[in-house]
Amino acid sequence: MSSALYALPDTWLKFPSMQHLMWIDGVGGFLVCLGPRITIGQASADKPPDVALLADVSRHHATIQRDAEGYFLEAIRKATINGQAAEKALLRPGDRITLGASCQLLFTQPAAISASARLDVVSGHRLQQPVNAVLLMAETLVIGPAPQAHVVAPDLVESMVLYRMKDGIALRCSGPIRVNGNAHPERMPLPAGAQVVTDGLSFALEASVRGQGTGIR
Amino acid sequence: MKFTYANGQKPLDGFTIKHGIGKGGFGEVYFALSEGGKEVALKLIRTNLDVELRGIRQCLNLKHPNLVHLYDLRTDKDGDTWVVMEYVSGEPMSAILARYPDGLPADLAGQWFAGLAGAVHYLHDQGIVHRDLKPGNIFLENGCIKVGDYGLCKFLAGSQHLGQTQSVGTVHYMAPEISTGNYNRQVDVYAAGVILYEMLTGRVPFDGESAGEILMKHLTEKPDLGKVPSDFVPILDRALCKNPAHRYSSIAEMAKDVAAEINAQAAPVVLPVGKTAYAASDLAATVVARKEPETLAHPGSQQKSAQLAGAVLLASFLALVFSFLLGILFKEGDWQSMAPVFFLTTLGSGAVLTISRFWKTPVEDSWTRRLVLMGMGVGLGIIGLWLDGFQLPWFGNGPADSMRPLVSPGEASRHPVYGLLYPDNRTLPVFFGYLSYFGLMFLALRWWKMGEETRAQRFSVQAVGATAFWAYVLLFLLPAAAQRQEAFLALLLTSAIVQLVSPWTPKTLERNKKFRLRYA
Repeated sequence: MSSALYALPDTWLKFPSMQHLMWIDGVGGFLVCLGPRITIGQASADKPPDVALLADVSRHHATIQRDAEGYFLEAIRKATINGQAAEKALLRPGDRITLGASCQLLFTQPAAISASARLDVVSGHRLQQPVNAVLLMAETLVIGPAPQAHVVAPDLVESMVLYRMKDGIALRCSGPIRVNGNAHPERMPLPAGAQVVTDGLSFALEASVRGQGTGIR
Repeated sequence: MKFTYANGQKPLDGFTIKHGIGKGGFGEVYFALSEGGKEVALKLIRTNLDVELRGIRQCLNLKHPNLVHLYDLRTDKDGDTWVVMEYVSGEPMSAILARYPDGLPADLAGQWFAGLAGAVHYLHDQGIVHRDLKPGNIFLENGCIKVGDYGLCKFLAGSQHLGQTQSVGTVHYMAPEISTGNYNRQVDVYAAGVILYEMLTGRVPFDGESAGEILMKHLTEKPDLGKVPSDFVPILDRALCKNPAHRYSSIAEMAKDVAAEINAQAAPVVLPVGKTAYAASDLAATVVARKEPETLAHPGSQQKSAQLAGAVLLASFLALVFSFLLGILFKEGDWQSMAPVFFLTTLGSGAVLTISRFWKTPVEDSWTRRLVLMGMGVGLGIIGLWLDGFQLPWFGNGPADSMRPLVSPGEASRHPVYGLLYPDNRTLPVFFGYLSYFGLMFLALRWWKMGEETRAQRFSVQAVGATAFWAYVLLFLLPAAAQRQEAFLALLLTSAIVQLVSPWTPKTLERNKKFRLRYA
């Protein structure tokens, strides 16, 4: 097969987007953040943060940084973790981060084998992107039927794993993979805007559109 | 799950599909964004067009905070019909209930029930019956109940007889009268009762292998309210009545009773719903965690055992009275010969009562029950043997034929079967005679029917007649006249006493001949 079939957009190759929107049929939408450092703040037209909240918080309210030890929260404005005021703190699974007066995020790391984490807005506020949760992707993301997955898809029989490659994200699962209607070889990154169909699941991967200036670090 | 449309497609002008949400009986549901960024749920209707469309048109302009709002009804280029409706970001109640297999705390259940009842009352007030209330149709968004899928609902016609030929809905929440096709808003009260039951206990009152079996239970079986907190028993008892006329006449009345129970509870848990709204699931998690230590007791089985013990005590008392009377009538006060009758009757009734009370598997496998009863009969035979003064072979230390014969050699050799089969040995025939007599007696009859709460009559003479018939036919198995009399009387008394002491609820509902079902 010629690689022209899988020709990727130039921008994708040169500047792999640090954020994707993943729309999973029967499950929901997720904002997948690939960068080690994400900014959290109020949604705005210019210089939006990585995680843009529709809430009473500052434009750049806090940062979450991933390193070898784990995830650190750096508060720029008032933030608490489980009710305790925090400026810089290591996040543990199950921590509730409150930004400002009321906006609360739940931090979890559901899959023990993966360093990736998940942020859920649990205070009834919304993200600018109409998604269910934010996934902070380290090396892998697990989509599976059991609760020990970053994305729980109850109808799946076997878990599948999204993993990071040099040029983007690839998918590993037991059955065949079809992308945009064509068979997809293993160990090939998924192209931008991929419509992926596997035995038990179908989803779309969309490069997240954001304001200029903050995408690439 | 395979969906017709994928991310990015625009089958309906002005809306971009993001992802599929789910599939119902009536079609696919998608999450989509309008051009301006409004989040909506789009429902593609493929089947049952007429039924669904009529219902939706009636509901299109309803407004209630606890209803999932319908925005519009549209047709696309291919002629397919779409319902544009409010997108609810929360989970369905079914998903939450699945996480709490022992039920939600009562106050949370009460709070959610109030929301549900509010929506249903509003629908009823608009002359609409929902018909398909179930946890899968009820959503929780930031602690607020949203009732959806009322597209199925239909307008209440002036007459109570709607002549609807199709029954649509989910079997677990289906009121018994739905199978008749003649029903009204009372079906929603029943379904709300089932949902309240499920919220409080974590399970539905009637479950089974097949839809038919569950329906049959809705029609005939009384719900087991033993697991429900005692305060709610009268409410559920009324809401789950088989006869719609005996249920709450309106859901508002039921909601009032539920709220009263919640308020009456000593220390209401303060729910964290101040200026910050929490997601429902977190709310549930907080409250459930606090309640955990209380969930150990099983009042259901305890209550059952207490009822059973009472019934057995009563049965033994009746057995005493009857054996006394029979002793006076036939034996001229020979009490000693009536003692085995008393003991056998008590034990037999106890066995039958236990079976009919604790055995909840479907009636279809009557042979399993018969075989278990036969085992009990064999046990009864052994006890009868012992009561009649025979030494049991494994206790005897004499030779094989040392069972102390109450039967004179002459009488035994005159016995129609024993004499032929065992001319020399009397132990084996007497032993197996007892065992097979009682064993076969308990195999031949469906004894548990006499103890069922839903039996046709409180006391059926036919049942006693059938017992008498079999007890008489099998008499040849017993060695001599004295034992025959005693066993015959004991079994007759057992069948009478079991019927007398078992609770009985008169039937309120005619069993329907046909079930028309759609697995929607």
